[in-house]
Amino acid sequence: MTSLLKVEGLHKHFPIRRGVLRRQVGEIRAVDGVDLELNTGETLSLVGESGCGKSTTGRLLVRLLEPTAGKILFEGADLATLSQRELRAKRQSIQIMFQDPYASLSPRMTVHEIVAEPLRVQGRYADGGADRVRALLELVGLRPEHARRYAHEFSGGQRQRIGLARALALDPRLLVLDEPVSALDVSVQAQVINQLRGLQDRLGLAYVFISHNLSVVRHISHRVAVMYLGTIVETGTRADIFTAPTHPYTQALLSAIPVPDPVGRDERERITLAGDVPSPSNPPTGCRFRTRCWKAQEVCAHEAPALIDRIGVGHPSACHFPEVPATIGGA
Amino acid sequence: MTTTTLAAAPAGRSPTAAALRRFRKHPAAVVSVLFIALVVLAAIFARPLSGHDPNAIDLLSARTGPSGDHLLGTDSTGRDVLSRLLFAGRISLGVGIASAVIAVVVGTLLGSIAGLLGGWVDGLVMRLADVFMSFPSLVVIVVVAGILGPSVLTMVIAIGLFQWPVCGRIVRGVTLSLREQEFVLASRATGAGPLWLMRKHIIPAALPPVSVVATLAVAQAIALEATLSFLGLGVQPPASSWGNMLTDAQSLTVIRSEPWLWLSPGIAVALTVLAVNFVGDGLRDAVDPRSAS
Amino acid sequence: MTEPLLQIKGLSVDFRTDDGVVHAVTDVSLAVQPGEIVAIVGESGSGKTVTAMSVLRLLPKAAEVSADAIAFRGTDLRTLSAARLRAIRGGPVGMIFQDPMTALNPVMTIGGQVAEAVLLHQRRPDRKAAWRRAVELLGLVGVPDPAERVKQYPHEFSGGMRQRAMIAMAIANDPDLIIADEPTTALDVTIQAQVLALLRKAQAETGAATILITHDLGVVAELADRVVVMYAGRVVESAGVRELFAVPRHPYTKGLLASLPRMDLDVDQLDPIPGNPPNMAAPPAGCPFHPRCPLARDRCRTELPPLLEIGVGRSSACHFHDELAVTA
Repeated sequence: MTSLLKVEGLHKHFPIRRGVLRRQVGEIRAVDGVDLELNTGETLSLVGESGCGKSTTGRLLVRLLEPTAGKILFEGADLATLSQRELRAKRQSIQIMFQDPYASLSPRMTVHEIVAEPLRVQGRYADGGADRVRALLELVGLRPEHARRYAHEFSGGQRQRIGLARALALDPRLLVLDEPVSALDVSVQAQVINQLRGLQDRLGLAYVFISHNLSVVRHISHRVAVMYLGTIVETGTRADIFTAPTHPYTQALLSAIPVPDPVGRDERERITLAGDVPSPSNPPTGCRFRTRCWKAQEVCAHEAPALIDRIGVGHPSACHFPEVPATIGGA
Repeated sequence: MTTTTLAAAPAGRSPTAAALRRFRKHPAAVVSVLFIALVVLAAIFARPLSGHDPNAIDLLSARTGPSGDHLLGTDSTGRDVLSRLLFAGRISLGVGIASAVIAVVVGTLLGSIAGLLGGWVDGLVMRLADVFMSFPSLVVIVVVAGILGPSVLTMVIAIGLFQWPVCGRIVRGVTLSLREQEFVLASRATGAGPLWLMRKHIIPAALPPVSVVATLAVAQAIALEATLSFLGLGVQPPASSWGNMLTDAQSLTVIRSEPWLWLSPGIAVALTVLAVNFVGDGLRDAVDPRSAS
Repeated sequence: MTEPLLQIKGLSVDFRTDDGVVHAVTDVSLAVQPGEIVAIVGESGSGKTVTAMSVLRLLPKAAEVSADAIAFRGTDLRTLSAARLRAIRGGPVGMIFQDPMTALNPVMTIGGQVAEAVLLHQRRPDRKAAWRRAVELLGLVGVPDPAERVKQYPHEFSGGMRQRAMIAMAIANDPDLIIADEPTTALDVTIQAQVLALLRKAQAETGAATILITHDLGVVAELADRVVVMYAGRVVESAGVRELFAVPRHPYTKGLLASLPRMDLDVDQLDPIPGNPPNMAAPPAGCPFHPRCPLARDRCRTELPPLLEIGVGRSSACHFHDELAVTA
């Protein structure tokens, strides 16, 4: 079976320009060699901290950015080499939903206009577009009379539903969800998460779920890829990543999450990483995580660890010294 | 600060309706709108209102003061001042609006193209704007009028071309900030091209600030028209404009003994420009509540 | 019980807006004992930040504040002169804000700002000593190489480092109370863990009481001694942190905990609170939570439940809090 989406060696480097002549003095390696694979109906989460390249990866998938190098194979066709016309048709199948419930909806359009826009852009509105918009609003749990209102009249959770309806307008097979619930209050966040899961079951959607919130990722994902400074450091099934993480960065991330249970908080073992994430314009040699890693050895500075399964745990990890920890975080 | 609570608005209100409501809270602007409406109506119905032909020479009743027959008196050739004033209003307002339209159209097009395409196109358009803004416009218009011969059309185009950079810069700024907004990214992700973005997102977003600039451009153009016509480079006699009516009244004797000849066009220019500026201020506060004092 | 360090009684804050009066905070009472960490939890618009900001009169002019009492160590803060209030801000009461980028002056060095925080509260200002103290404070909060980094500007600091600098300023004058408004919300998880550890250390070393304003129940569980839950501008529940997480006695608190995806528990389906937070310009009649509440019945639609003591050190503003004690 061929996968729905297969990404190979994806790179995105942003030039840094200085001076009057805008001479290039360096580059930010936002995404630096990423491989991904995703099947229909599956959720793959990209997790990591700000600057790890997860959002850039998402934008590359929907071609809001042009990749510097690499292949994006969608249903077997390489999006990077398609003609404009073929791309225009293909990109309908990959849509994106954004984080900010305020910035992601035009303040000057009614809900109807917002959800109808993709249909109009693709010239599909004339053919039953109004009915389609009504059906989409219903699908995400909004009432038909909401269509005439403006986005600012809605709460954050409702706004995210409007954004979801817009993303679904073109019958996509893959949705890139860029921090879709991070800006929402917890009580509302759970509504949207349940909705996303329900829609996935109903419509057979595949999700690339981009998030820094590991609790949400653990709840929603089938598979997880952990990113650090533009590369994937560990990837596997949800169970692999959350119960048997072998990369020290994954372990530190999991251990850093505050657990909403005060019992035993003083006995809990925490891995607190030192320092900040280095700049992606000047990443460390060898292993990129070594500057914050408590296990770092001589070899880590010279040799970038490949993403392979070294110790036979069934999932790959980009660490020279992977090991399954005895206990994890709050568990 | 939890701004979300404070931003909560009652249902069913479009951004335009909210702006209109704020505009109505501006007494000077509201009065100015009414005043401008009056001026426009008076200019449209100039003939029935004045009851005289603006160009009818009547040497027998030259230089008479205001009377029942000639409400604002007559000039040196006996033409009715009120009638000339109202007909001049057509030209002044026409020139003001037409040149502002040119400025807005050129500015919006160039500004949004510069912002959307970026790179060298952006550089070129912005340098062009710098060139236009750094020239003393009056001097250049005088030279152009001198070469092409004075006419209303030349004047409209010249004034319009010198005013586009203000609008162009605003539209470019709006475009640049919009380009990275998530709702514009979402539109691009569905396959929207630059023309679509311009029509559906950039122009609607730029409209409020542009309307403010356009209003102020109208005021400036009216004043500039008066100046040029006063210098003899704008509207040519026998057609009247507020500017060339003042030209006729430059001698000391006229200023001293026949004040009706210069008072009425002078007041007309001053009040109209003032009113248009008030409307511009009101609009600015209405479309951008944060700028309100 | 000893006299509380901070006592707020009957606090209400209204904002006049174009859309009518917004009741941001209504009848909030709160006491903070010396040395304890009190978390004020709530979602956006719950009034948690407004409550804390009104203590030091840091609200914008549009805010109309009324209170029966706001007292710090027995001093009435409502009527205090502006000059004496300034002496309290940054002195015995330290502040930490959510966004250190906007809370720091971008054109002043980090060291200059920390030293200024020290100088403002010295009786005989000594610039050299203040600078030395700034270096010492930055070292204390874990800024590496403090002697060099004091000379840098805020934009040269990472988000986590800026928040450390803010904490240095807050503890500069050995405060009795620290007010921390969403101190880790803008930070990445690994940096959040660093800052939480630092807050724990700062609290332990200065012995200062802390008001921690947050929407993150994880942060609350990690740090707080006592929790005050706010909803729609009112306190709906208040309890010790262990009691609150073990048996929430207000349906809103219970709903919040149930809607949280957990690292430590496997649930198939999250149990969200239905509906949306109320519009504070037109809050619902009766109990503000009734439109979203699974326990709601007629009484809740008409009668506002008062915040009543339901056990030692815990209170709930629900007519039917007893039912929660049984079911949980």
